[in-house]
Amino acid sequence: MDTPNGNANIKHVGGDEQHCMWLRQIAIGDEAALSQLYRALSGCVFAFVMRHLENTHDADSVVVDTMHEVWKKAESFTGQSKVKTWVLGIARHKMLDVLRQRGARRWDDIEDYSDVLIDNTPSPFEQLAERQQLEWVAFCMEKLPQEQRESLHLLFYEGMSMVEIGIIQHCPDNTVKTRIFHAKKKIKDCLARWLKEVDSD
Amino acid sequence: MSQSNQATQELRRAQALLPWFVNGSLSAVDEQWLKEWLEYHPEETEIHTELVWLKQTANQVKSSVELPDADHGLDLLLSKIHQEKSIAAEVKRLANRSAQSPRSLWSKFIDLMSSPIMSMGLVALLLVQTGVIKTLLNSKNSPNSIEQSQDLTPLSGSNQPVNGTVLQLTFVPSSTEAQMSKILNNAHAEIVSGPGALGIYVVQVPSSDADRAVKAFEQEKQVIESVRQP
Repeated sequence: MDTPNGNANIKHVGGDEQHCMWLRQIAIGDEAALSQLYRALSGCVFAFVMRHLENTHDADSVVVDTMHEVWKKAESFTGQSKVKTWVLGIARHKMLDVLRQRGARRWDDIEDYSDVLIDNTPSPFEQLAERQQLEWVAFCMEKLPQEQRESLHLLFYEGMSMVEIGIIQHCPDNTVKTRIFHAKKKIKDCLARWLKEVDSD
Repeated sequence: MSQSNQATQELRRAQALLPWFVNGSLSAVDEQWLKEWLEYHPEETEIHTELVWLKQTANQVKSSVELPDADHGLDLLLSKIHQEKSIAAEVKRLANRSAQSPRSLWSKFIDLMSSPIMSMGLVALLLVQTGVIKTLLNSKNSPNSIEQSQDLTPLSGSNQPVNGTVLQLTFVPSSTEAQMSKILNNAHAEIVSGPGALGIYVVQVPSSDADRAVKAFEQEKQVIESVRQP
């Protein structure tokens, strides 16, 4: 299908027509369209990479690098996913590069905190839902392994489907399902431990 | 299938679909099925309370990131692009000038040579130049002469030509730079480019070691996700 500017590669996928339109304009060097797309997507890219980098300076750099790549590679977008999914896929690789350069272990597993967090007796979901606090959720998410944290962020923050998460993480749907299952369980256990600790104080 | 088996399977399906029911990305068919299942199974209290917890957690995950002002990053990006554009324009301008200059110099040279005084001057210049070249050739054979140009090497970067086998590697997300360097060094591989938008690194290995390198890379499943020969 030919697009108005003659670029046959870029076509829209339901729900992100506006992003596709900007991307078509970017492919022909339109800086105003790049600014629009930046304003639309930089927040979600920042939130995604910040979950792992935990440093606003590094996260800002990854956002700029990602959108710079979008500027250079706009023509190569094939329309097989949403623009946002494509952009987050680029951001993920940029973020992994930063983590590699740091060379350190990138997360602490929740199990490492077993001495800090008193026990793992599960609390009912109902009690958790009523009492859990924002900072506990953030803390427990930080302790998840990278892939699980990523899946959970894309699920809850971006509202992505199983297929979309699989595209970004380069894995089958079932792997996404398993990651979410484990992430959910670990978060729940971690929150329950927090609750126990608060109750014992 | 027995009734209890079917009930267990339905419960599992409901549990698996629940996170995507909460984020609103289920297909219409799955969403309808889950709505009805929840309605007909009020006795499954755990799944109903999990639904409440998931909604609460989703809201908290959404509000746990403070977003920065987009203007600063956008300014940085645009200035980066403008800088690249001005460099590209300068390179183009210089390339155009060098492409045009031989013609204009040549036409000036023809004009100058049409005068008899300049022709005589040129003959004199050629004689002087011949003398200088002869002196230089003699001094090159003396013991204190400067080393010949083939001994000069670049100050930085590899001076080896790109003539090995090229491979495309993707590293697993959890791999560290140290792990990657170790594996590449063991295989005498050098990164030629990358990572690209899809995280692909292009590496070059000596052609004589290519098969051994591919096997070695394939064994490093903890670090290398995929090996491909383009």
